[in-house]
Amino acid sequence: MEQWASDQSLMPIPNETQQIREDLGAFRLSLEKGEKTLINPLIAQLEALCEKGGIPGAMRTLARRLAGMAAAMDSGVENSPKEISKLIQGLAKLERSLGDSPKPDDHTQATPAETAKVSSIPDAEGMDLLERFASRQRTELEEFEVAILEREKGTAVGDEFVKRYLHTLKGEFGVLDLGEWSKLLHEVETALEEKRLGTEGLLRLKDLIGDRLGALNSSQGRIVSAEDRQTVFGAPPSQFPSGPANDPQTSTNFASDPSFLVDFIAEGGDHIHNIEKSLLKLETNPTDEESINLVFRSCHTLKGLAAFLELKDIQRLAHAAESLMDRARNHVIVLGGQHVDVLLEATDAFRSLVDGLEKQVTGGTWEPPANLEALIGRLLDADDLPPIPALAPEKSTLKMGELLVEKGVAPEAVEKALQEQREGDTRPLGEILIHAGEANPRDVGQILAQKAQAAKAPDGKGLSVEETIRVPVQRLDLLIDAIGEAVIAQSMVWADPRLQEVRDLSTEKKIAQATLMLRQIQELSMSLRMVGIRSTFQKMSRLVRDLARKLDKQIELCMEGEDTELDKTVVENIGDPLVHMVRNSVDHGIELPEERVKAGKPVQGRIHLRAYHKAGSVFIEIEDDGKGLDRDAILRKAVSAGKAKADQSYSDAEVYQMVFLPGLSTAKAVTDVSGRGVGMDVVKKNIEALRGTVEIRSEKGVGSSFVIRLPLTLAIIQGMVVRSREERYIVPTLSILTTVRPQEGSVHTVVGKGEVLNLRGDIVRLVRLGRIFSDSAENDGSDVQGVVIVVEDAFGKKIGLVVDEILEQQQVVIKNIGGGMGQVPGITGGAVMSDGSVSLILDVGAVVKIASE
Amino acid sequence: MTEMVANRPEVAGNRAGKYLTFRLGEEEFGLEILKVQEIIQLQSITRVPRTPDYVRGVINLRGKVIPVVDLRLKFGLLRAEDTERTCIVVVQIRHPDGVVVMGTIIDEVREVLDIPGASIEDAPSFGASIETEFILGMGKIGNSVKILLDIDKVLSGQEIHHIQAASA
Repeated sequence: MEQWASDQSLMPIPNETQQIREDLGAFRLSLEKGEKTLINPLIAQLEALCEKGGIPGAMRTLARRLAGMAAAMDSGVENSPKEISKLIQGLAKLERSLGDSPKPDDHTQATPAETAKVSSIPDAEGMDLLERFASRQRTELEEFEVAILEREKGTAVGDEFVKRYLHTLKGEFGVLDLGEWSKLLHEVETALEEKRLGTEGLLRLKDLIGDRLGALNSSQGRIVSAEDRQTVFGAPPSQFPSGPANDPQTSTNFASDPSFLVDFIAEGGDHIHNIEKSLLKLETNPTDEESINLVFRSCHTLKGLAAFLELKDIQRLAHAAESLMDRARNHVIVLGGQHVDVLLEATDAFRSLVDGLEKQVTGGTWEPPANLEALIGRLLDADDLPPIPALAPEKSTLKMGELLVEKGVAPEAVEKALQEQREGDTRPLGEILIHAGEANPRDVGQILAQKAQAAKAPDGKGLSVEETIRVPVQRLDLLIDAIGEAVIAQSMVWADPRLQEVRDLSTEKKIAQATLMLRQIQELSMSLRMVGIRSTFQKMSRLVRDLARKLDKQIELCMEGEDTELDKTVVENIGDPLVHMVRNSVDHGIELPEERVKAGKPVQGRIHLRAYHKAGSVFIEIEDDGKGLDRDAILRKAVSAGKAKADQSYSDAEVYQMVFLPGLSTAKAVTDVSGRGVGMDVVKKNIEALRGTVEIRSEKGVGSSFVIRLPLTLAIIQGMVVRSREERYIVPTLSILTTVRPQEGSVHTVVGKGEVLNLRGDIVRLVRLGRIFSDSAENDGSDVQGVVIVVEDAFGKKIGLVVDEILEQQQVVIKNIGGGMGQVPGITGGAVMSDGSVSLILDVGAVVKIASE
Repeated sequence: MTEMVANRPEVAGNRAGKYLTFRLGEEEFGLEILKVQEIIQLQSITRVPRTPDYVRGVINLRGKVIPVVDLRLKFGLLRAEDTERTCIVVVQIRHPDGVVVMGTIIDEVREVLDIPGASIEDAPSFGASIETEFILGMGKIGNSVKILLDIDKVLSGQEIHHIQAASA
């Protein structure tokens, strides 16, 4: 009994646990409803519980983290919906664990040493957590990479994301009991703060984590070796000073290093810009928490940076501004016009300080602003500032008065009108001015319309995060298949001869309705497979960056239409060809900086990556402003390789298509010819496998662009159903140029070469589908009866397919013609027709090839 | 080839089990019941051009297109007219690409037999017009002998390459 009493001091009283559990539940519920209740006591309790060790094993870390998140929320930091849902999940888990937390009588479990031991070996649930963590991180790592690159450009968003991600990851590693990883992350965070770690290091960290994600469940994977550390930090961290504050010598070195200052000038400029923007928002909406936090964080960052570089004035000013914002953040004061004014003044001072810095770096002289001390003083005593009445009654970021001044109305007149308003005139500003004859009604009308527009637009960055559910692709495909079958079954009902006899309008109406619904469901199901091309594009930005660095080129990659959606299979398979083409653009398209300057172009090359929908297809464009393709060189090479005739004249498009010819793509050719063509035949093949085409436009010295056209989905094609002997085939409409019923005399037989058709002066080879698809050498007469379908393959080669009859045009769902069948030349797949039988879909490219054998 | 030889004893070890027996020409064959997905009526088959004779074509199996192989032609027997007893046994076979569903045309389905291991002997290295590597063993039931097929080997592996080679 005595033994038990002493143990009890380590344990929370069951009632207390129960209470916390209920509180947690209430908090979770309120979160789920989107409310934010004040939970200060709860946080304190949770923290106390953690201290006491009343929460077992890994749950303790979770509890701590949740407390941290909840505290952040409580103090007004906006959490993203994702974070909130994480918090909710965590809370539920914590509740559960508290529910079955050790009862006083089985106290053996509760000793900290025991729990620690248990948690170091991942149990089934731990494994599940790990797996989920790993699979989630795979996507999040990509986002991380994007943010790293974004951060390199100096944007606050990227920097913010990187920091938050590192921090979250550290916490997650902690929850998963991956202490060593957590420690590594902590070191990275510190290094980042002290500017010891740059983009390269972060990218190496991302790669390291990516490589090791799969192995985290093994004892090997849990360990972060010295080597790993070195990979990330480049050299053992101990070689670095532990911090600038402890080592004034180093910090002076840092401060006097102009490159750091230049970085600071750029980054500081961004922060100042952000502060200014948010302040303007705050002026009209003083309680906008997002803006308050933004200003606060920017000030904070400025302060940190300035302190690091020993820029005393900026540091002090930032500190003063930060403390004002801190009070606003904690609802000690409500930001009024007077505060915003002072803060804006501070922004100007920041700017002039940074400008001064710039001048110093470039060797000029500069005087510090004289009123700095007074400004800092006012920022610190912001509570005592005399409030000034709100300027305009309108609650909008755009102010009528200012806008009217822009339109040419005298500022004095606006001032006078405002004065009238203050004195009790209830009319809107615009009206007063129009009345006074100072402003013209048209301008006022325009501005009002503008304001209405602005009011409609979502406030700032009111991000709408789409909720998603992860579903295995296989299950999705099953659904799509099942719906496809339903559509076929439906059309079999429709085509049923006995039903045709009924001819009852109301029956027909019902069936038509059902058909419509089914079609809609089918379309919907197809859209489930559509994913944005963003992640593929984002890989390119890393590629361009790394390659450009390696080749000493300056290249900017601009991306447009990353949200364009394509079939998942297409997105997965377009990556490789894109990498190839982008690499070509970087390697061979964009010139070296000196060449560009000589050619009168901007030093920085530009590659545009665009994706968009047009005419039922998806287009992906890679455009560079490099030197363009060398038409003559390609043609020369093609002629010497026997792929082109020297005496024939080719159009530009024809010549450019030659870079896709297999023989022209050897490494040697790359240097000899224009430089294009590394593996371009493979690119072309891959794109064709996706039923797409590539087109090249180029102008020597100006640049070139590759336009890839892809089908929206791989599952459906529009086809022409034709009959050849007893079989039905489907010819993809995309490759059909025209169909003709040959007139007498238009078909000629060329001895030893077969038949040709004179199609409006164009000579087209004729191929009888029945003959190439039949093993028997059965002759179906010398006359061409039936119909000629003129088709064109991806290389622009035309042939005329002779079939017996054209049956109909139809949209068909492409089906693989059975595993184990392998590739059947001339056939891309099968389609189930409305009568339930299977028709084969022609692979036009292959048919053209077979025909020319 | 060596792999096949190496596999033999293991296969021989657990050959006992249920077999679907069917007739092809004059001979009776057996197929491991676990490989059989279903038995369906003969339906209209779409011929696939440029494939070997024994590939009769493809059919629509509830929305899935599957290839159909004529086992008679595959085993070098003479082609027979389809009768009302002719049917398609849909099997799931192991293929380098994973599990593949295929149809096999046979003359007539007989019964499902439980054959004990003791009644199964290795295939003789001679006789029959059938290549022996496709044979799992010979099942003796009373006076008759049923040829037990290793359907994976009948329909997959080199055969597929053969199809591709023949059609290329």
